[in-house]
Amino acid sequence: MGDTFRKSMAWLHTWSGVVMGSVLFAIFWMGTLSVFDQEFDRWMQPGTRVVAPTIISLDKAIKPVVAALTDEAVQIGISLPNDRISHLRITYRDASGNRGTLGVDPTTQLLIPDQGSLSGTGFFFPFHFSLQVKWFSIGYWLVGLAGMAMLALLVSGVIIHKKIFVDFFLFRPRKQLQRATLDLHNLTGVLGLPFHFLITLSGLIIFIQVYFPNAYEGAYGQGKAAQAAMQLEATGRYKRARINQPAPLASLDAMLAEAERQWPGGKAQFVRVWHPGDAAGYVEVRRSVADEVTMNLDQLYFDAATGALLHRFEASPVITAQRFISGMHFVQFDHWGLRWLYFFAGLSGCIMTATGFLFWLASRRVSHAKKGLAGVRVVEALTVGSLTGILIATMAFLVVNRLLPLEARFAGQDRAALEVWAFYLVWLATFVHAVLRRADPATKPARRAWQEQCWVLALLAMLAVALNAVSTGDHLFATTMRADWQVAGVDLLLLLGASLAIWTARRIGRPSQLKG
Amino acid sequence: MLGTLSLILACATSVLGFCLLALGQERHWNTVTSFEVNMRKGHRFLFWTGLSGQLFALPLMIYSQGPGFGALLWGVLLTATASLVAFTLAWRPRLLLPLALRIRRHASI
Repeated sequence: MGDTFRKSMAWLHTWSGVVMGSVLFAIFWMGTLSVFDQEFDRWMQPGTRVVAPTIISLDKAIKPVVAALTDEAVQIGISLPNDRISHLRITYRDASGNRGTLGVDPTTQLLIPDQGSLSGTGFFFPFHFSLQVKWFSIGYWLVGLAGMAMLALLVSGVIIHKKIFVDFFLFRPRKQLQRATLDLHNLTGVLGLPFHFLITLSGLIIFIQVYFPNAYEGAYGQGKAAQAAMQLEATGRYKRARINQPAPLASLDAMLAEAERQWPGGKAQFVRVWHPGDAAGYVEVRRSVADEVTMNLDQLYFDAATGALLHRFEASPVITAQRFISGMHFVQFDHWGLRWLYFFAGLSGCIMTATGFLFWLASRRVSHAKKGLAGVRVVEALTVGSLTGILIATMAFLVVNRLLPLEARFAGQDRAALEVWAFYLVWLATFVHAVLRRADPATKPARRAWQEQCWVLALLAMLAVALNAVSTGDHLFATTMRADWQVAGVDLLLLLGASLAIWTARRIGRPSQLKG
Repeated sequence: MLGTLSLILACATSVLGFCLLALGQERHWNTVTSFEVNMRKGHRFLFWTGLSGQLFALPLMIYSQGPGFGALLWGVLLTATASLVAFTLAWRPRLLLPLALRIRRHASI
């Protein structure tokens, strides 16, 4: 801590950044990828690269699947195609709580075999908010702690930035690397401040029930009944028990038509059949969130046997405000301009974290070496693994996805788990590499570690594009010609990333760069 | 059509506004031009004009995209356009020279 307020804030900024920077970079990186999570799904699950017809009949495409699942499933959910997904995604749960997923081509009505990959929505997205650490929900709490640290970093950063207005547009890329790094850190921090602050705050607000699990007690009282009352009022779930008498499923198409009549201008995005095949079965229809920022909770419930409307729910103003904040964070709306701006703003968060680390290392390298302290060396190895390491692990995840056959299994692990293992093992290897390739003497930066990891990153990114072309035939020319922008976009971003990695590796290789 | 025009105009207004804010700072004015001006007089004019540009972009954006998307797009666009101006100043500052000349001619600074 310092003897003035500004010095105290500088201390807070430095140590919050050094301690939480790695976690923050991982959260920002995975959050940035999650902006295009469904596009990654399409890239990593080639079987789902089908073309959606303009009009889809659920009665034709889904009812046979529902009939086949009726004996084992207690609920069957159907995600309808939209601008980002072209196949029907079916999720079901049996009485023991086991879950399963299926895909259906809406044009041919044929089942799409399980693609054996968690991909964007199953891996990148949960990693962003839980770090995939499920034990005692530690991941959520670590992300919450990192979020609080991020808010403290942003506020303290503004306080310690003496010339925030004078240096508002200042970036001097041709100056010494340490100066250019600090400029870029300040630039991304100041210009991205509204985005970074709001995206962090909204992320914390979304998980308020995790961080404050008893918050509802203030308004609803204590106990499970009070909690259930809060949930019912907030999310409006309709329920009724099965009566174990068989009944056929009425027309789902008619229910969707009625839903569109009930929501003028709105469309359905999700259908769930509860107690399929039972006379007390019912069908939940949820409204699409594509056409507005607010992730509405509008739901309609129909009697499964007759198709009669049973219940209608619309969220209260307070929940609608919360859903606007959620929508602002989740980016589920259909607005490509905003989606790309979110992507670049997310990348600016990654750059801000990375340049903060690099500046810390450069400014302390010589003094730590003179005092015989190992701090810089330890932090530099962690930084290499946390920054280029997670990027390499992500590329390895994509490469392994394209190398493994659909039926791959190893040591009791299925294909999806093997992809995840590859991610973590490669990530671990980057930390080991960073330690082995540390600088000698300690006054120099770990140039070889950075440079070699950049080359590996570029090679893996290019390999992923090549493997996608070879394993699916969907090379960049083909996807561009048939306007499959999701797959082409991922390929193009990988090539762009590879180019940047090559440029960085070559720049690090120049003797004048990376000076302390 | 009118919505698209509003969107383009909002983006242009935001970029122009940040250009004016940047040129209102002596360091950036000197990077872009080689002639000296009365910066004290010019700074206030460019600051308020630039700031007005950002504020003017908001209703245009809301008109084009609706209140939800419009406000959100405006907020994120500020980051994007300010970054664009910062990178132009870093790598291609002479691109702002025509604007600087026009400012000097019309604002008599």
